[in-house]
Amino acid sequence: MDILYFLIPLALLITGFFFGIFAWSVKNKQFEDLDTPPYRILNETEREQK
Amino acid sequence: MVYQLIHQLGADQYYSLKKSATFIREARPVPTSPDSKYLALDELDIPKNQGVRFYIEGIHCSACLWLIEKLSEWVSDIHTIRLNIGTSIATVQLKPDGKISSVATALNRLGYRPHLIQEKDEENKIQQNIRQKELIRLGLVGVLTGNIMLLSFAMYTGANQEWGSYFKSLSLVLFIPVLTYGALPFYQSALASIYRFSKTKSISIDLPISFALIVGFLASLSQWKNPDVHPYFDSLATLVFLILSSRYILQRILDRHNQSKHYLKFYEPDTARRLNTNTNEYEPVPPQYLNTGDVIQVLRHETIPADGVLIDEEGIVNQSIITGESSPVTLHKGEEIFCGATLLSESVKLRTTKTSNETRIHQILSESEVLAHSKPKILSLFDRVAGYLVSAIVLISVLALGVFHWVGLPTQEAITRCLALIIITCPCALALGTPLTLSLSLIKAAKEGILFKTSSTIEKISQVTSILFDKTGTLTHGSFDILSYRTYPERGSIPEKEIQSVIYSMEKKSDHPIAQALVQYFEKHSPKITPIENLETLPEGGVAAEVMHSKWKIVPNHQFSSHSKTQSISTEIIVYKNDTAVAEILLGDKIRESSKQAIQSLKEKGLSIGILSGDSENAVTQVAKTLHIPVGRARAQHSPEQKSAYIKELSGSEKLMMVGDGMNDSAALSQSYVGVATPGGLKASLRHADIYLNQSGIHLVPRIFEISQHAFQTIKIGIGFSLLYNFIGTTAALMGWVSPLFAAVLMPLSALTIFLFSTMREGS
Repeated sequence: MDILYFLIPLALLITGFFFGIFAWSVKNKQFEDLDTPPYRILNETEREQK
Repeated sequence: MVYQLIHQLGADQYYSLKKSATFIREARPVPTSPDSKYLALDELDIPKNQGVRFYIEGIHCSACLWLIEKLSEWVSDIHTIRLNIGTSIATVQLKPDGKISSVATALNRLGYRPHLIQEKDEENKIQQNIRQKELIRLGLVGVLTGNIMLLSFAMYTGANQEWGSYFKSLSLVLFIPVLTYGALPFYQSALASIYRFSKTKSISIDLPISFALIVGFLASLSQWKNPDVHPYFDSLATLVFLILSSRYILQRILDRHNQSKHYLKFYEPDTARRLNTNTNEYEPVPPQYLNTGDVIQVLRHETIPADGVLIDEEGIVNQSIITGESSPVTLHKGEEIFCGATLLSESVKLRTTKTSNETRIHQILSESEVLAHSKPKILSLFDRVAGYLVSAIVLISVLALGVFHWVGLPTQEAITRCLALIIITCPCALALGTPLTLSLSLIKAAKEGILFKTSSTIEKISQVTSILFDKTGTLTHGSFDILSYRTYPERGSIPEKEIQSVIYSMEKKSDHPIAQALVQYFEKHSPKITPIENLETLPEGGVAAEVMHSKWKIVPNHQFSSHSKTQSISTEIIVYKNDTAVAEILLGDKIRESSKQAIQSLKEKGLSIGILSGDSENAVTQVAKTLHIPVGRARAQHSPEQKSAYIKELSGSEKLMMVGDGMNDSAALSQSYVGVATPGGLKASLRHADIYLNQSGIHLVPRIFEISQHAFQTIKIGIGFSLLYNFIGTTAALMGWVSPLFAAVLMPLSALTIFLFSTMREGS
């Protein structure tokens, strides 16, 4: 059970890492426009078929 | 036309994309010289390095996105173009020598109406920054709450002694950022509400929340040494997370309703044509660069770019945007003409008297802006309940301490019970349920075409006692239409078809708005063009001509008096053949089909209905009669300033809702208790309204009341639930049953019931 002394902080570190990625993506304006990208991806597929 | 253009550009895919959808884009008339109207955009002094932004009217679907983003391949001036469907704002990166005017022209050719956003981006940047911060805060609290819950779960399921204190310390470490950074908005708003208390006599619901958070934290610390007592960290963190997220969602919905209306000057055209005295030619200039005394030319169907005085002999304009009067007005040399009006006759010259920020329309707008800001904020039911709750809890705790002392309970235990009381009675269900209900009903309303600009409007609606409607464009169509056409029995053997084709052929040669309305009306009957001779305009109005050896006359009837007809008639026209009257045509502003029904259902709700219009007494009375509105409440000939004054006068005794569309209503919309704007002449008036309808007419107005009442009722029931839980909580706390485990169950449970209840009532 003593491994928990190591594993829980490690899990928290990983959590922190993912939170860092989230904060970065917010700052990188990835959450600014949530409406357009789902449509944009449809259009681009269409173009490749041509 | 639009099809041809798209086809030329090799973009047939556009149609394959939308094949199944019934998508026929309304082919707006493409101007003969599309460039000239946007030319002045190139003269503007705006930084281009960060991209030029356009607000594009007419975006509805993914095909629009495809079409607009494709422009970068078709128009050589564009480097890249990105469209945001949610906001209808396209950001264009121009090539070094790219011109704004060619981008605008290209967008216009595709059938959209581009509006260049000239305001600086800074305000937007600040907003963006706040949004990002809130989202990160929410993310952080979410991550920490999840982990605290895991650790607490271990504690509740029996981890104690060594492991217990390890988990406890860890959850303390995780809770500190939630308590400090995560809950910061609560402390700020709680402090602000204390600071303003002397003025508002109310407290924000954030005060009890902050109080519970801090007390809960201190209570947990004070019991730190006791291995049998768990900290409250998990329930407190959950509380912060739930409230933060429900507020974040509500704020995003409101932002969405409010954006894109701030910076648009829809009343001004993009280009004014100014006379250059050196070259004697008209040059395109942005309207805001015009000076007083400039001579400008306005073409037919264009918007007047500045206030001025007519230099030409005569011009016909539609001034409904400013005056609310629907019939075209004929202006003569030397008469004043206002910015925002539309020219209906052939091009005219005018000398500007007031430009840019000094025009009358701009004055009305800025006045409305001041009024809108000074609107008193209402104290919502929700804040009032929070206020009572706090006083009640403080009172109960003090009383309880006295009672505990009297019954001889140890002081330590008495204090613990009171702390538990404060933590568990925190109105978290209320703080979560209300924004949630508001968000859901705002979404529901938006789907039906009703956009609320602030959430407190929902509560205000329930207090409205009377409604005033603008006439032109709101109750009526706001355009000059043929109301009825009938032939007289005296016409004898002249065939119906012949009369129609003669009227059509004669009026087709004229530019007068009445003539155009006639032509448009008879076009539907596909008349034959008859050769006409000696067409002349009569001095008393109307036209005369010879058609196949008979003399025809189409003249307005000046003796015409309003015999109680059901519509608002402004002009009667009689058609004569060889001095025998053969037909009559009535023109005017048609009442919308939906108005009658909407007014009926509003009356059934017990609201008093009135009209407040800038149009003539006669027209207003007739509309009032048709719609069964008491003539005493139908006000005519009110200027924008008078409208606002009238509403101010009435607001002493009544809670007024004003429904209107035009510029002339904007001050009235801001002055009224609740202002509702319908789409009409001018989008600029929208920013002073509390609610914006995206369909013309008033058929959505009854729905506003239904949706608001439903939502308000949901909130009230939610408050009831919350009080019930608080009652249970209080009893439990005073009896000493509340442990952190009890709190961890009861607090989320109350939040969950409110959540389920609100979604079920407001969802679907």
